Amino acid sequence: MLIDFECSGGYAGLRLSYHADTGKLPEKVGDELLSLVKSSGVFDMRPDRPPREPAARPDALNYRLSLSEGGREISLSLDDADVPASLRPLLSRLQELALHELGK
Amino acid sequence: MFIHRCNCMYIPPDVLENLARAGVDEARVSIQQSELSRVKRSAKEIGMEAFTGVTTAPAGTASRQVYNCKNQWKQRVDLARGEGDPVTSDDAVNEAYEYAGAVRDYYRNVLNRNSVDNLGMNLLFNVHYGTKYMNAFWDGDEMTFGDGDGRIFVSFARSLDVVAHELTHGVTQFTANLKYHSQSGALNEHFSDVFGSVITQYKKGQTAHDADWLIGDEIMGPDLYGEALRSMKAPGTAYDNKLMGKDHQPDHMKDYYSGPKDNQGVHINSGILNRAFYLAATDTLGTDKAALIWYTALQRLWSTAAFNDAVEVIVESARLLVKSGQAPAGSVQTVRAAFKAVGLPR
Repeated sequence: MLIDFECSGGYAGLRLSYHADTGKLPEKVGDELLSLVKSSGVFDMRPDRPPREPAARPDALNYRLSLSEGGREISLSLDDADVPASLRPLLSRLQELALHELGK
Repeated sequence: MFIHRCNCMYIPPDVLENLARAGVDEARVSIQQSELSRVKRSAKEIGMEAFTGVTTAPAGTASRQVYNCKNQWKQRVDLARGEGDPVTSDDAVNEAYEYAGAVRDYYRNVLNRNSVDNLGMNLLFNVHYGTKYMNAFWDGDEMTFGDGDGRIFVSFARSLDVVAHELTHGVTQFTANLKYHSQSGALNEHFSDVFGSVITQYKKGQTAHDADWLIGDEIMGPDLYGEALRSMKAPGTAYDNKLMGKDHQPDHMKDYYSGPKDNQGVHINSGILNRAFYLAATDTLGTDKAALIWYTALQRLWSTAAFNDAVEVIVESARLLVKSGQAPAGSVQTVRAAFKAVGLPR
């Protein structure tokens, strides 16, 4: 699965990104991400058509997430007030991985 | 429950905008109330009675209510401390409560403003939001704070400049209502950083010359102790480390960021304006007079104001305060020079 993740804004003015192919990650990390994607139900979510920019709320974090695997793909653009609870663990983990990349 | 989803306005938004720019306060209030209603409708489902409450809110008591979210991704989970309640065993709850009081008291005692909306709006705080949430935000009617990850950031509720910054977003909402993108958004961020610093200095009894002018230094975790998120004195120098990268704020219009990230750079280009405030405060004005000029300007700006507009209004505000004897002679020139030093107006 291809993952493109960006997180920006917030009080800290974060600018984080994480791009990966789960098949090329360490097995444990890749499996964890696939599990989080599955439990989030993200492929069943219906993004707005056409995609709208998240309502700009002061210091809210903005998230852009694109996933593709086989014939299915989805792209979401959200901010903190819009994120479904089921998606939070995946976004949190992707944010951790993005920070880890910064530290290299 | 009846959900009202009307999006109709009798007076077109552009007409209201022009009236507000001409200084018609009633138009400004109408725009602000309409915008607030739209934000709340898009963010949360509300019943008709709640919608009515938004537009006809009676004068409140500016009471503090601190909720413990218990690491859930939900607001208002458990009311942990209300106005007048004794200290609790939770440091984040207690500090949010104390800092909310400090900000409320500054606006009331120094700027004669009765809470965020100048009508005694109650102050709602949500602490321990989510897990390892590295952020704090104002969403139109309440504040929300994460605990950080414990390494890079610690609890966001435990910093006065974070609390003052977020509450000032509320003040901006009920005054200029600066749209949160591009230059108006950077102005919105700038005013929050200004009053985050001003109120911190006020609480600590500091002057412009002995303040550190740092934003977010108190929430840096053990891995980044000594760093900060922003520097109003020297934008671009607040941090430089492997975990966060390098501070990318410009301190002059020649380095203005015009990309798409962060709502077109609202936390980035605010550095240019922050530097101007620092220069004005440390030149001859002092923090208190500079804050009064900037607060006066905030009440005269409008939602789509750009940097050049803000310079004009801040200079005009200085002029009016000099005329009324509330700012010293030379204030206009000091403000002008501060903006010139950062390349404004452009």
